[in-house]
Formats: sequence, C-alpha cells, structure tokens
Amino acid sequence: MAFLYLVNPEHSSWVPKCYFHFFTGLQCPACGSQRAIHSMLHLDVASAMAFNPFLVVSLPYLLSLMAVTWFDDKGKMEKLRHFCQHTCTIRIYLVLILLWWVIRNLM
Amino acid sequence: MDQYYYLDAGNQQQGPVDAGELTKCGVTAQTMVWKQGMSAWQTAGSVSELNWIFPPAAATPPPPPPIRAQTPPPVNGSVPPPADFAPVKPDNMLVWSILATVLCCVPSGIVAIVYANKVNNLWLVKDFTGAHKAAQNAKIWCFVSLGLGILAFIIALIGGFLGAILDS
Repeated sequence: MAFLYLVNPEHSSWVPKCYFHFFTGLQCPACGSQRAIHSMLHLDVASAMAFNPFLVVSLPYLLSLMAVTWFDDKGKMEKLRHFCQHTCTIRIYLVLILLWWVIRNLM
Repeated sequence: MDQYYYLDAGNQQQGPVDAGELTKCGVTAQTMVWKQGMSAWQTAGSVSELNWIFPPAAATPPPPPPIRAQTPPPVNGSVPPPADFAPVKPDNMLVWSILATVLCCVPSGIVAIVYANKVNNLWLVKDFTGAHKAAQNAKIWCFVSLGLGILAFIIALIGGFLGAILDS
C-alpha cells in the first residue's frame, strides 16, 4: 500500500506489469487497478474511475470482505460476513468480473 | 487395554492408541479423548478409567470447548468417528483470491475465487472433505497467482533495467 502510494505506476518501470496484457495485448479485468489504487490513495476518485472503474465500484465489497476476514475475531460482523461470503454474492461478483473483462475490451 | 482416539493440537483426530501410550503421544489431562462406548468426547482428565494416568487432583478445569461444534460420535459406539470428525471450516482464501485477481494475475485468480465459493457451498451441504479439498485448491491457485505475479514483477524489473540502459 505504502509502495503504491509513493510510486506512481503510470511513470515507473518498477511496478509489476500485467502479463495477460503483455502477452495478448488485451486488457484484463484488473488492468489499471494499481494505478487506480494509487489514485484512490491520493483521494483522486475521478482518475481512479478512469483507470479501473470496476475496482473502484467493488472497493466497498473488498474492504468489508477484508474486515470480516481479518478484523472480526469477536464475530460482531456476522451479518456482513454472511453477506460477503454468500454464494450468490460471490457468483454475482464472478459474473461481473467476466462481463467487465469482455466489455472493456470491446469498448 | 482400551484404545482411545484423541484430538491433537491441530484439532485433528488421531489414534486409536492404547491408553498406556496416550502420554507418549502428547495427550494431557486437557486433551479431548474418545473410545468406543463413550457417548461424547471428554477431556482425558475427566475420564475415570484414565485416572491412573491423569490423577483427578492434578486435573485442571477443562479448557473451553473447541470453537466449532463437534457432532457426538454414534451412540452405539461400534463405528469409529469418521476421519473428518470435529470439522473446522477451512479458510476459503476468498480475500486472497480476489486480491490476487485484482493485482493482475487474472485467469488463475478467478479459478481461486471459484474454488473459494465451492468451499462455502460444500460446507453448507456438510461435505467436509470436499470443502477441505476445495480450500486446498483455492490455496494452490492463490499461490499460482502469487508466483505469476512475482514472475511478472521480475520481468518488469529486468525490463526496467533494460529500458534504463537503452535510454542512456
């Protein structure tokens, strides 16, 4: 996180590149996510949306998932955990990833 | 001599071993044990037949029961509890799967998410062995993603070096 805050992936060769993009020339669902996280950490939502809107939109889900998995030892967020780990939620997220993968390459 | 099953530090069922061998296996008065004929798992210290190994005076209060509920063994006691007894829900690695996907190792990350989802489903239908296997797979695919990510990072490093050399 600190690394992504300090280093701008747009201008640095030191950031891991997407090998899917490297080999196929197509964009993967996560392409732009490091740049998007970098922008988000600098509170620049607009450019984060430009780099990878899917990541920005799914951030609330990712953050709550991390919260219930790593920071909820006492089980206070059982409802949230149930929602995050629910089969439907995960399936919808998967379908959205795949859809986003196709759509962004058609755009 | 009676033979006992016991739960090791990882809550995995071990045994059966002879009662006299229990201490050699690391069983203490607080270890959960079970043998044919017992209706439920008990701490070794609370089994009266084991008093000669674990004197009641020395037995400290039993620890809180394991986090996940244990299904009691069959009442007739003729069948040893199945191997996936005392199941602990495996970590389905969902967070890592999604992180791996988001950090751009896509095809493998998505496979990991699929397996993470499978863990939950199998767990719901009480297929504990299947859930554990799916969790294993999810873990493997997370590591594959991580490995590919590191590989990509190394390629990027080399590319960066080459680029810097070519530029100068």
